[in-house]
Amino acid sequence: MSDRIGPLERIDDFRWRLPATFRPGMRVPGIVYADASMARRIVDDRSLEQVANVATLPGIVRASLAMPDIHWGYGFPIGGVAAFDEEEGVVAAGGVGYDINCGTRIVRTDLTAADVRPVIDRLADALYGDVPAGLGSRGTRETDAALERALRDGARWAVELGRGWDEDLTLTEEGGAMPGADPAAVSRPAKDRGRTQIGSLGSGNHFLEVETVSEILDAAAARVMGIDAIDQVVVFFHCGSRGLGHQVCTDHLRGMARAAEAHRIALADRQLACAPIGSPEGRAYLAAMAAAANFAWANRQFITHAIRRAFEHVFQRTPESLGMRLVYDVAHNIAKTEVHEVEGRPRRLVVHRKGATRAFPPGHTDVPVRYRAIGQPVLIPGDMGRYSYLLVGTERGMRETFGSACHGAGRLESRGAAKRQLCGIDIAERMRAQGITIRVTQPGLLAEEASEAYKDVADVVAVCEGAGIAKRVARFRPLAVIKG
Amino acid sequence: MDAGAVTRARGYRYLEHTADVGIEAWGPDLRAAFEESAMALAALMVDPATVEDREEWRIAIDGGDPGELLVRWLSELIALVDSAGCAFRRFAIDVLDGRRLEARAWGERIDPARHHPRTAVKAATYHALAVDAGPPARVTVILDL
Repeated sequence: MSDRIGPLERIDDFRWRLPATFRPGMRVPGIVYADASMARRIVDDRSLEQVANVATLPGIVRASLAMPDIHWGYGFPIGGVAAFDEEEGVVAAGGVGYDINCGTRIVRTDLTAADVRPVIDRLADALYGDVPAGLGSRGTRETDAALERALRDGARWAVELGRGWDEDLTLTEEGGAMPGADPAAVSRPAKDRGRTQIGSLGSGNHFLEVETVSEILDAAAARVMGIDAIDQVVVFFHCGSRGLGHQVCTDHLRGMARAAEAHRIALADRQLACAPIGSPEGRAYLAAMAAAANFAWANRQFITHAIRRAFEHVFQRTPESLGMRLVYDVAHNIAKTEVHEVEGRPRRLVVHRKGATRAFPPGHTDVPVRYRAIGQPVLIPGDMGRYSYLLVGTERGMRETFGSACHGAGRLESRGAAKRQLCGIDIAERMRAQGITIRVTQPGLLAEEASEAYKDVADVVAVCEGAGIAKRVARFRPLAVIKG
Repeated sequence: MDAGAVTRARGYRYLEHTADVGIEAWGPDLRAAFEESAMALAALMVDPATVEDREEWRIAIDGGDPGELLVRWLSELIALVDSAGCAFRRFAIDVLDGRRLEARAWGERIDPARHHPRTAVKAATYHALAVDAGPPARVTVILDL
C-alpha cells in the first residue's frame, strides 16, 4: 500500500497525517481518519485546506482532526474536531457552525416491524402531522418568558411542561441543559427567529425516521440500551436549534472578527473568526451558544413528545406501555469545556465538534449511569435510503480524538451534482420499491438527499471501529422517512 | 427586475459546494449585484414568480466593509423568513456606500399551499466571500443550507 496520497502521509490503515509543513502557520499537524479510498477522494476536495486552516489557530492542542465523514464546509471542515487550551486558546463560532447543537436522538419501542407495517401509512401521516417540517413550518409560539426558560433550562423545561419523562433527561447529553447559558447573550432577532420553531424539524438533511433493527453487532451493549431483537422498531431523528441557533452564529461571527483583529490573530478564512476563550467576545459567544444548545434540546424534547403522541394515537396504547424510552440524545455541532489528558497531565480544553459526535468511553463520569459500563451511545445516521448505526465510545477515542467520532455518512456530491446525476430517476418510487414510506414537503429534496449523494455510512463507521475510536453496536434500516 | 427579466448585464448563478450552495451575482454596479444576490437567495426558498407584491419591508445596515455588508444584507433577509414568514418577489437597494446599506424588499407571507416552499437557508457565510465593485460588479457568497 502506498505511504502517501497527495499531501497525506499514511500512519496506518485508518489514519493519515497532514504534516504541519503543508502550509505556513500550521501550529500542529492534521490527522485524518479514513481508509485509502476515502483518502483519495478527500485530497481532491477542499476540506484538507480547511483542516490546515484550523491548525493555524492559537492554542490548538495536539492536532486538527478530521473524522471519516469529512467534507468541505466553510471555515472548519464538516467532520472536524479541534481542542483549544482554555488559557491560551480561542473559541470559534464557525467551529461549531450555524446549526448549534444539531444532533440526533433515538427513541426505542417494544414494537416489531410486523406490528408497524400494516399501519405504516397512518403512522407516517401522524408523525408528519405532529412534527412540522420544511421551510415556513411552525412549531409552538413561545412568549419571551417561555423562550427564556428554553434557553436557560433546555429539555428540563420541556419535561417540566409535561413534554417528556424525567428519565429522558438523564439519557440526554448534558442532561439536556448545558450550564453557562445566558439568554441575555442571545439577540432579539435570534429570539424572533426561534419563537415559533420549538418542536419543528427544519429542512435539508434533517429527518425523522421510523426504523427497524437490521443487525446487532454487540448484543450485550445493545441490551443495555434496550435494543433487544432484529426487527424491533425505533425512531431516529436529526435536527438542531433552528433559526435561533443560526442567528446566534451569524451575530457572534461579527464580534469575533473584530476580536480576532484586536488580538492580532491572522485568519486564513473570514469564517474562522475567533476570540480568546477568556475575552468578552469569547465568553459572550459561549454563553449564547449554550443557550442555543439548550433551545435545540428543548426542540428535540418537544419532538420526542410529539412522536410518543403519534404512536399512542395510532396504536391506542400509552407510550409507556409501548416501551418508548429514549436510548440517547447526542450533539454533533458544539464546543464544550472538557478535561482531557495531554502529554500525561489533565488539561481543560474547549473541544469544538463541527459535524462530529462526542464518544466518551466506559467509566467516564459524563456517561449516564445506565451506560457507564458500556460507554456513551453514539448515534450515526446514514442516508435516507440505506441504514443508520448505533455505536459506543472507547478509551482509545478518549486518548486520541478527545472522545469524538463521526456524525453521519458525509456528503460526496453537491446538491446540484446529485440532481443532475439522478435526473429522470424517481427516487420516491425507488424508495417505495425498497419498502420505505416517504413523507416530504418538497419532492425536489429527494434527489439532493438520495443515497448517491452520500458516502456509504457503513464504510464511515467501519473506519471509526477500525481505528478504535468507536465500536459498532447495532444497525437500523428505514421503514418510513419524514423530511422537510 | 424579476427573474424573467434577468439579462446578461445583470443576473446570478449557483455555484457547486459539497454541503451547501454558492451564489455568484453580477450587475453594472454593486447595488445591482446585491439585488441579484438577494434574488438568488429568495429563489432557493420560494419561486419569486409565485409571490405577490403585498408587503414592503425596509432594511438598513450600518458599518462594515462591502463583504460584511453583503453577508449582513442576505442575513437580514434570511432572518425575516423565519421571524415573519416572508416570501420575496423583488428587491431594491436604495443606498449602498462604503459603510451603509438601505434597501426595500417586496413580497408576502409564506402560504405553503400556494408557494410550495423549497429549501430553508440557515445563513450567509464569510467563507470564500468575494466582492468586486467593478464595473461591472460581481459578488460571490456561500450559503449554509
